[in-house]
Amino acid sequence: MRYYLAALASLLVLWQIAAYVVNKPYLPPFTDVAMRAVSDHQILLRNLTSTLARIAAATTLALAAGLACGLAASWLTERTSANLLKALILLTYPIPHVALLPILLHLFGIEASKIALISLIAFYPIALSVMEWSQRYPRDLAALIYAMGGRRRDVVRYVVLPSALPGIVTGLKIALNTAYSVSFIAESLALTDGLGALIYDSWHRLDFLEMYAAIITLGAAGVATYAAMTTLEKKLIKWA
Amino acid sequence: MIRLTGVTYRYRRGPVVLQNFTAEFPPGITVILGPNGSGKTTLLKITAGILKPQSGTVEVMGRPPDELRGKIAYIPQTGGLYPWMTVRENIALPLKLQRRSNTEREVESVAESLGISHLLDRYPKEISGGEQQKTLIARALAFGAEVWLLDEPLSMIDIDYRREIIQLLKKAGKSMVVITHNVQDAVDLGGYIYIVKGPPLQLVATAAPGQYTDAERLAETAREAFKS
Repeated sequence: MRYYLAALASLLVLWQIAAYVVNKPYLPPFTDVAMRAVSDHQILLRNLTSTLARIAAATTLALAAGLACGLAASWLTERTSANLLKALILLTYPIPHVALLPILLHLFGIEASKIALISLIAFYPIALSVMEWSQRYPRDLAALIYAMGGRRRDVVRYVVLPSALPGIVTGLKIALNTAYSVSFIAESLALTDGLGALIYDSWHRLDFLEMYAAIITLGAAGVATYAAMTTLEKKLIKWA
Repeated sequence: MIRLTGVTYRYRRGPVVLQNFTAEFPPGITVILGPNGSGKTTLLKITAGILKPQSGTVEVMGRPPDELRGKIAYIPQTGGLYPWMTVRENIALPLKLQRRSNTEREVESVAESLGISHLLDRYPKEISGGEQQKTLIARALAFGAEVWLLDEPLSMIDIDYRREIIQLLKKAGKSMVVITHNVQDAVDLGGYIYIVKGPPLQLVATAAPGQYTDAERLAETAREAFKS
């Protein structure tokens, strides 16, 4: 922990020095940004709440779809439909999904398209991770389930899912990280609310202090989410 | 009674492990003694219904193993415990699979009888090899399996636990097939002894319970049988 704090302190000192050296409005000192963040905390919190709500909704959708598709595509491999699903996921993964935003806007409207875009991009790390990890389940332990009187669904519940849990959590961590990045793009397109909208708007108003305050807030939320996920991972996977 | 008739098994892109193998194992403890890699584990997995032979039949108490799910306990040499479950959850698993209620009391009572109550909330990686073996035995006891198939149950445990595990197995009073490569284990378990070699697995000699009380003599018999 102390290394993280030392790294953060170093970063802020470097920023402060760079701001004095460059001496331009687009790089204000950190201390000015911090003061602005304190005075604008209500605006920042309101927009943070909107962004977090979108990320939570989008990631929940991505998790449900990623788990279902990843498990179906990897575990039901003997079925043609599962192989088709796997091919479809792998084929559409390299597509730059941000480019689909105009289509999503037409399909879902302004608000829902933001969630749809974040969800679409967060879906792939989860689905790919689940596909990969759920294929690695220990076959001997699965065979034991049958020998002890279990059925196919018991193998999924007691072997496939728990053994894939580290992969699911890793996929979710990557998905959440990606979701924060994509939230900026999604929210800056239609400037209703959210930190992405605030960053974009303040940038165009050349209000750099507010822009940096919003960036820091978004970044801090991302770091806090990652830390929370790491704690959750340790609690969920105590056995590893 | 376990009966294997004309069983053939070959791993994909591997050697033939069992070739038209026929044997009968009587009720009580049967020890299958043979060198590592001879096909003993494959034989045990086929008897448990985990592997399906390419030809031949397997009968356990007059029925194919598939029809006896939940009545056969297969205890592998390593990795028989689910690492993501605590000792308590591992013991309770077959009870849950058989949709039995009140599993908690049964688990605690079995754990107490084996002296592992203090381990119930630990994960398999947090307990020793001997304690893991005891947990596997507790699981078999908890779900009341009628036939136990044990793969080298004494090979990964230290000397203190060895005698205790042997006593536990004898006291369980179940029909068991125990495979081992250790003559001392075969003598101490005190059941029928089937000496095998392979692959493909072949039965080379048998001995009745109590026929051998000296491991050295049994080892000599095994050496003679391998020569023939």
